[in-house]
Amino acid sequence: MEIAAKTEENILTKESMEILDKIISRYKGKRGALMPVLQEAQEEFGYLPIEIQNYIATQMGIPASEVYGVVTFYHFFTMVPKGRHTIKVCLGTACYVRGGKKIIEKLKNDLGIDIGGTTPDRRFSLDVVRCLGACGLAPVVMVDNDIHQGMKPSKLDKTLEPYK
Amino acid sequence: MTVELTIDGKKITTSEDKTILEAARENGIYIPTLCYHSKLSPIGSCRLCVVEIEGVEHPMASCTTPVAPNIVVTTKSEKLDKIRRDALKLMLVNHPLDCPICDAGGECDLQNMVFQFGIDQVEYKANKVEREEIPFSTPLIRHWPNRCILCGRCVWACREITGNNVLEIAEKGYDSHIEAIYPEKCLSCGECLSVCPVGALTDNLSPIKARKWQAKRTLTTCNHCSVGCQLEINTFEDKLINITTKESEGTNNGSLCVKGRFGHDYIHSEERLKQALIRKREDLIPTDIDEAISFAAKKIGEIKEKYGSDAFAGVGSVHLSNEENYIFQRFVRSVIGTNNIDSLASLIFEPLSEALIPVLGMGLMTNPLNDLLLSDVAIVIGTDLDGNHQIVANKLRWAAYHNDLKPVIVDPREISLSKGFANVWMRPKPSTDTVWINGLIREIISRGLEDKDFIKKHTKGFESLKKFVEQFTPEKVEEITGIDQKDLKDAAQLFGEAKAGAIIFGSGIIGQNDSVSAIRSLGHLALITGNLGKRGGGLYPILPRCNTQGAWDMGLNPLYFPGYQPVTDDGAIKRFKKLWGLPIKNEKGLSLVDIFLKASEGKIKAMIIMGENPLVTFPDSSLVKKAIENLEFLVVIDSFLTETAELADIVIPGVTFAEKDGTFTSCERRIQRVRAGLKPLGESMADWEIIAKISEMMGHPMNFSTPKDIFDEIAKVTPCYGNITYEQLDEKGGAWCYLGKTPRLFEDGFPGGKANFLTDDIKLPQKKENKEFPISLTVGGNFYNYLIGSKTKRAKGLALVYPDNFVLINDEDADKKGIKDGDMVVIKTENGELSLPARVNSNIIPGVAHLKISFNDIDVGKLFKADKAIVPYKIVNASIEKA
Repeated sequence: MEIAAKTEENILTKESMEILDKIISRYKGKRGALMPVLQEAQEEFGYLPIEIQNYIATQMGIPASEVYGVVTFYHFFTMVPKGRHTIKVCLGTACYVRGGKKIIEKLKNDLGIDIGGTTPDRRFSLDVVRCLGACGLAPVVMVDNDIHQGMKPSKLDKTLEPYK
Repeated sequence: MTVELTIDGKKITTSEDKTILEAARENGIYIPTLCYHSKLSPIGSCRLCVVEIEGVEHPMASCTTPVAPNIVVTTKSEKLDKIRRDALKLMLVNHPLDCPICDAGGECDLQNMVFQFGIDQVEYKANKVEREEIPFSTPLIRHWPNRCILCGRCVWACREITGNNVLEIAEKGYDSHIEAIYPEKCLSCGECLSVCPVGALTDNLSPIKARKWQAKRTLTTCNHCSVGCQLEINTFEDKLINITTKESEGTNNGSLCVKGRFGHDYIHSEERLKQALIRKREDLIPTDIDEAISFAAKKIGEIKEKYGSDAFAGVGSVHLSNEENYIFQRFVRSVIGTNNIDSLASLIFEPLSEALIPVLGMGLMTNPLNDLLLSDVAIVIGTDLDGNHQIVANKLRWAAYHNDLKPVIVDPREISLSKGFANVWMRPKPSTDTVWINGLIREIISRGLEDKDFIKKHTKGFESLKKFVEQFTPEKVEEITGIDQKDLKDAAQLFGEAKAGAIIFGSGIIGQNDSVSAIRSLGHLALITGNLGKRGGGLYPILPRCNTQGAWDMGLNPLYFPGYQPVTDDGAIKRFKKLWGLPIKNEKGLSLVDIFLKASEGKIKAMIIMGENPLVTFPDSSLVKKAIENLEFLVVIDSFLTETAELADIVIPGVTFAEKDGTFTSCERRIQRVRAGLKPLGESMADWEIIAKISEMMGHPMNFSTPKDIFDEIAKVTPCYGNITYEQLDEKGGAWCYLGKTPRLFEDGFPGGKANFLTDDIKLPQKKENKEFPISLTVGGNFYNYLIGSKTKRAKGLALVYPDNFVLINDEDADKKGIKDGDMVVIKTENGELSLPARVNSNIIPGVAHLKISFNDIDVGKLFKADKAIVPYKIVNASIEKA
């Protein structure tokens, strides 16, 4: 279970409030505006810590608890700061039977984080996806926007090396 | 607009804003539900209420689908049955069958549904999810996450009824669970607990459990604040198990606050008095109750003989029943023969009456509290509703949520209703209310928003008011009160335009300096906007204790018999003399303040204090102490050995509200029944029985065998309680006193024809700098602990939530004195000093500090001085230094 991650520094600075105000003002008075606002906010800050959620809630007149409900409901949103690079391991049927599980175990072990986690040096975040539509290349690992095919646990170190 | 539709072959006409479920229920057609709750907006999560609609491919949830013209709905079919059974079975995959140890067993909606559908096995082999146990938002409620069926009722209740948005369904799929996201906002009211259809939320207070069918349920009236909520005391083998409510009963509509739901365990406190006590030398020694009563009777007789009737005084109680207060004043007036009788109700009603009777003819709450649901603007002044009268706050939130009510909050402190909820929040300096209220009146008139027809038809003296308020320009108001001009103007525009505007005010106004001027100005404000005798309008003085209204009505007053018949009126004297069979004194008695002043001078020799603890509750504890020390004889009747009782010569054990019958009158003038759910503890007796016995021992039997007999006499002699019978109270769930045709006052005009604008006596605050005592210290009650005490921890559950007292100081003020959050400080006033920890933040404006009065171990009363009839019991000049 993912509980509100502690933010390392005070994220809600004057500048970030201004950025959020700008985002919110573009959606003023529109129905169902919370989703796009959260989306843009996450693009801006990389994640949605509780302070940001609270600020958005107050400015939009939505209960902060409801914002939390939405953020934790959608897979896309995260309350943990993301790393500079996101590793997505495919666990769709084809990748799964061809060893996707082993890859994820190795990554968890090497990086010392769980699925959804971020390394302390913020280099990598680890995620799981259900089929990238590239079953012929299974097992597949995606790092940022690059697809790496025919993955094996032993190939991982080399694959990740260029991502600093 | 009405709509016609067919449900199960039955032609139905209903209004277009109804859902299919509502239309079916209105017509006696049963549709099973689990997440639906009549107090909440439809949730639509459980899928049990699915129905088929002709021409629609998939079954629809009837709780969320609105009716439409000419649709044909089927509520029972094989297909629907299968969907419902499957929905239930899927819930049972995760829901543990720990019914034998579940509090909800026997009153669990899921259990009932599974039973009703006859589901005896679940074929789904899905993995059971073990949800982690995480702390809930209040220690008073235990959360059993695995029992939760995620219906969402608790989340909805927290959002729509209490407006606090503490709870939410977090995560998704298998991981979804109820979580207290913002526990610091939780008021511990237990609304979530009360709507939970299963045992996922349970009462974490009572160690005693019993099944629904074993418990005895007694419907009664809460004895905490004056709202008069109806609740059920559930008992098993003469022990309280828990408190529940019925949605159909009372103005609370099934809701309660933390005190109502969790604040009754003091009934079984170890410290309850089971025996009478009598003073032998220095100590109070247990004695037989009959002996104590006969000793008290003998001693009262002796003192009367020796010093005369007026050497005697009686103090009644704002939390005992009408019957007890009535019999008490009858005893004091007839058997003892003095009008020296009063109660704490006069601290409230003296200023209310003096301010409003000359203007309106009555100084009472004008409208029922449910009228607030119809208001479109409400001004709330000097009361932290969530802290003391949460049910009233809930009504405002309901109206804001459903009816677009715009709240204007006036309080120097930040309270839960001010930030985020209020449209306008004004923070005046203490004791400047008269100025901003008149400024508001001026703004409304200058914008032409006054109700000209109403003023012409129903009032006198408007021109003089208009002239009077001319001086209160927004600039001047800002200078004196500190209220931003824009805020004042916004408030004036809102209230002036309101179709129905309500004015709610509490002790912050009633207990301040110059309270009469401020309250009278509020009367004027209601008049110029035509908000009296109107649905959703009205003046709402919020009274502190459960029977403050009743104590005043019952003649606990040196000037009036029951029902405000003057004690100097010959006709009234004649009537009461005939009824009571004893001579009655034709002379005003001493007020509460005077009783204590005279006693401290040794001029009052004996006192009976019934159900009151003035040493803690009266604003000047030094005076009370001196008064009691100078008495020759003091009888205290109470269910606990209170600080006052410790000084008595005789202490007779009374009972709590749960052990007696009678009536309370709520702040909205509603007389409601109190019913005994438990037997009196040990030798204790209902207070009315004790008084009747003392009277009998003194040779004057009263011939009342039940509280009903007393009520019948009250109804006979008290005009404002006339034509009401005890049976009616049972049948109709209460009755309104002071009535014409409706529960609303002034609907048929004002007594004496017209209301008056009276500006001559309005006093303005004097600007005085007090170098020695620069801080305005305001005090307030707090429902977590009022009179239940943290030292004694008689209500153990409440003490968990709000354990200790502190003084709230503005951060700038604290900085100047080098005080930090958590430091011990010394508060000094002209009358006394005390020390306690400080809480430092910006929730209060500079120059003001705030403190709770209700902790028995912190004697706030000694900071105050009472030397006149109207005591400013809420505010005193003080200095605060680091200890």
